[in-house]
Amino acid sequence: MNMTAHATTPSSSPPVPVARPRPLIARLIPLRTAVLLSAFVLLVLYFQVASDGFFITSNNAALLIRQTAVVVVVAAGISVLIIMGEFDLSVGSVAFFTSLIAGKMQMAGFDVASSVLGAMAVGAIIGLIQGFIITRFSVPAFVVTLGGLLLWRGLGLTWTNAQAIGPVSDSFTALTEGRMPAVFAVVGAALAILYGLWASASQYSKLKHSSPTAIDEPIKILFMSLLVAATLLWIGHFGRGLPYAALWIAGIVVLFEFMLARSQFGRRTFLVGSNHEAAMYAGINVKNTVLIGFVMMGTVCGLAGSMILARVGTSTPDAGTNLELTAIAAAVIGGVSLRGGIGTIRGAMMGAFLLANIDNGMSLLGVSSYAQNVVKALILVFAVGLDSYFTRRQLLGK
Amino acid sequence: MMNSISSETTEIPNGTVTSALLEGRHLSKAYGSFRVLHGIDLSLKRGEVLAVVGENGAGKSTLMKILSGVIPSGSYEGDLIVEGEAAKFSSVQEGDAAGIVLVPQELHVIPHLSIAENMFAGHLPGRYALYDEAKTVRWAEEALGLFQMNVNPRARASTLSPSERRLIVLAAALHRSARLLILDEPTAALTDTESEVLLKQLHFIRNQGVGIIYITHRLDEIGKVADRVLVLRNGTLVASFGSVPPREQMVQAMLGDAFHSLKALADDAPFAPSGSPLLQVKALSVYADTAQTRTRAKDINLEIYPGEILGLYGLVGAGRTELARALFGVWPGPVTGQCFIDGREGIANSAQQAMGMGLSLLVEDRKSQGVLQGQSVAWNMTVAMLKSMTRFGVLVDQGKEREKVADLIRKLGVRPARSEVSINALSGGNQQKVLLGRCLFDGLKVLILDEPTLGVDIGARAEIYRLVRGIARDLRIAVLFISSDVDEVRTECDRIVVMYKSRLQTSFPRGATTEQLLSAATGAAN
Repeated sequence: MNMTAHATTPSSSPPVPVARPRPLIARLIPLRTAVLLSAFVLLVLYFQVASDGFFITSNNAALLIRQTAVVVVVAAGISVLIIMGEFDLSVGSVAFFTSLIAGKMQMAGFDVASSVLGAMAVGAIIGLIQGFIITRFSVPAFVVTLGGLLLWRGLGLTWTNAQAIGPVSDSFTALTEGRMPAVFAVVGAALAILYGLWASASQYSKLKHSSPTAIDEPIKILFMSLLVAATLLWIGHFGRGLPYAALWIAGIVVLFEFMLARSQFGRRTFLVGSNHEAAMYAGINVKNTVLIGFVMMGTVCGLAGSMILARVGTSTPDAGTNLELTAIAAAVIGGVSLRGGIGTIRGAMMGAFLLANIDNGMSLLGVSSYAQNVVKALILVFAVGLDSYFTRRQLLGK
Repeated sequence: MMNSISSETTEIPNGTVTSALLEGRHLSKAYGSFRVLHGIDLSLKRGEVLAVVGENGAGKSTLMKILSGVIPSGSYEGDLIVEGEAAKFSSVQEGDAAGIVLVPQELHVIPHLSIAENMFAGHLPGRYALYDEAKTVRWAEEALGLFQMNVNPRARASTLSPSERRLIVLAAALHRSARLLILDEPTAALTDTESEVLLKQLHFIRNQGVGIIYITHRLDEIGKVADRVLVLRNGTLVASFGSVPPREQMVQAMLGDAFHSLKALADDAPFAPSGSPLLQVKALSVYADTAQTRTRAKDINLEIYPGEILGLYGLVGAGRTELARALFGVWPGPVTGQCFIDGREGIANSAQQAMGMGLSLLVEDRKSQGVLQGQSVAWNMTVAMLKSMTRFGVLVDQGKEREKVADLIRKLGVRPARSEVSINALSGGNQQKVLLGRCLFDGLKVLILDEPTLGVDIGARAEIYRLVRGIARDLRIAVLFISSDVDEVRTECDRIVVMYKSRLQTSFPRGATTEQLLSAATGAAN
């Protein structure tokens, strides 16, 4: 077409501001991350000193991973929903209900894999029901999942008469609590480094011609992968080995990151979250996308329910209480925007670990869980407030 | 013809010197390292109407924000002098108290509050801690009396037409003894008739000794209302006209070098239809309710041939957008009749279906229905063609996507020519080009453009016309060009049909006169 011929018409675009690229360090660590990171480091150092050197031990790190795995898994799922502009308050109750399913199946003699798959299937069905009501009858997700929050826990408690189910077999407990042979840590570390090299190289070759700051992203990726590899080796080598919970964390985070970045569904997730009306006009089936999102969330809750059961050994009546709030807090601290359209799974994972660190550290110091909530609340509001403040300043151009 | 600016004081006959109502000296403003205003001088006398024109991004809004106190004193450079005294407004409220009232382009009229409450929101009279409703209504009656507006101040604001909404804001400002009114695109959302009413009232306001600064894209209005004209380009004052010059001169000043390329837009040979029509609509009716009593479009018949641009002209509310939405499958109410796309019959039930049939719609409301805020130019472009770039059925083929986006950016002349920047960083005209690119998926047969140049400045407008022409002629696409701008319909379309009260009127060839189209659009032809 000869449209090309006119592409050089003098433009109506505003003059390009002559911006000097900021120093490398400032580009690598955005101010928001820098503040959170320094808070995190200070906290860790404080815990380390106050706990007489117990906080930074590979055993405690392994404990941290076991404690955080469930939150990371649920936060990953809920991040996808929040990016889509939706919301789910029922995740804690659904995780509880599915943990009952897994527990009952274990008691009935099913093997581990069937029990977990059974819990995930039930979770998927619950997600389908909630998603169906939300999309076909246009009931706000907030209302439907608030109903779910009450319903699934209520149903579960009625069904079991609030009795604990269990204990489950050691092989089920090993799902998250078992320790990998040391070689796993080495293989994992090698994989992390290889991935880091590959991803940073491909990023760089993609950007080097178009962007003056092409080096930033590769450096970040490489640094992160080295950090992960070092952590894996440290825990795997010095302690009693990496807990299997780490595998779930890695699996879910990698899977969901890949899904968001590369899949059609992931793309639609961002687009629907940015502006669902525009997405509809652009030919995206918004209702189906949201429905799939809720089915995904339910399935993830089924996995989380199984992991809770494995961690505790029995299914207790209060399993998964407040899980939805912790997961949402983790996602938001990790930079997932409640307005939709923005967020990453690795961010949500970092958020989950930050919260778990506070839990873990303060428990070591013997601080009551009531006081822990106060600290977590401050971190949450501080992190999000900081974000809003900087976004606003950027918009105002100050 | 282009005078230099002098910050002036006016000699009046008896020899005393009165200072200007408002004077700005060397007003400059920068956001970070990005300078948006470069030392603007201006002055305005009582009872004078000063038009300020310029493309989007020329600095008009920034200048008005400085004058009205939205940008507080101290965060810009230069001096502001109101009737001889230095003014340092630290907020809009202070500007308002000094009698300088900014009426923004998008009015924030709250539909379920009363007209009186809307008029004096922010200045509600109180009695002790309570709000004095009787007094508010009395004020409103006085103010509305100024314009001889016959509305009940206690009625809800939702009962007002768009022009009446603007008038009540003006009336309220006058009632608070405004000395200077700054009107930002006051007629942008109005029909031609409504604009006439507003312009007439502006004469009345001016005669009361109030100064008016009038910002507009509609150059034809300036001759009707303004005494003097200032032209801004890229934050600089490039021309000051002591009287209203011919349209040509204003456009030249606004565009600078870009002017000559606009002039190069010559009419090509008249269009000769060939082959069978790509879009054929037979006895199509669109209703707003299931009982089919509230009609939005009635018995519509039209056909568009490959490569043809059919203009659909009509005033706001004639049913044009409803027709477009019905064809595109996104109208919520019942639709009856037949629609053939390239010979295949069917009325779409959803946007996906419509696109599957080869139909595409460039939406009227760019901000809420078009732009995917915060996402990149690339993602905004490829959203409608993701299905054609899959790998293994579930993944996005990124290589294919990059190629497609680079190709579209080049062909459409999107600036900046970068696929990864957020679409929010683009000007309105460039956003529109991105959205136009979104419509160009493989298998496109019929392209519906609903007000494609709304809120787009003149330079980008010319580019969009050329792109549309290129799409129609070179890709042999049928284009339905919906617009309420008579001039663009007259010059940019091969054939024009006019819609009035849900029905299509006579069709006109290219070059029909404004009078012909207007009389058809207002029902006079019947």
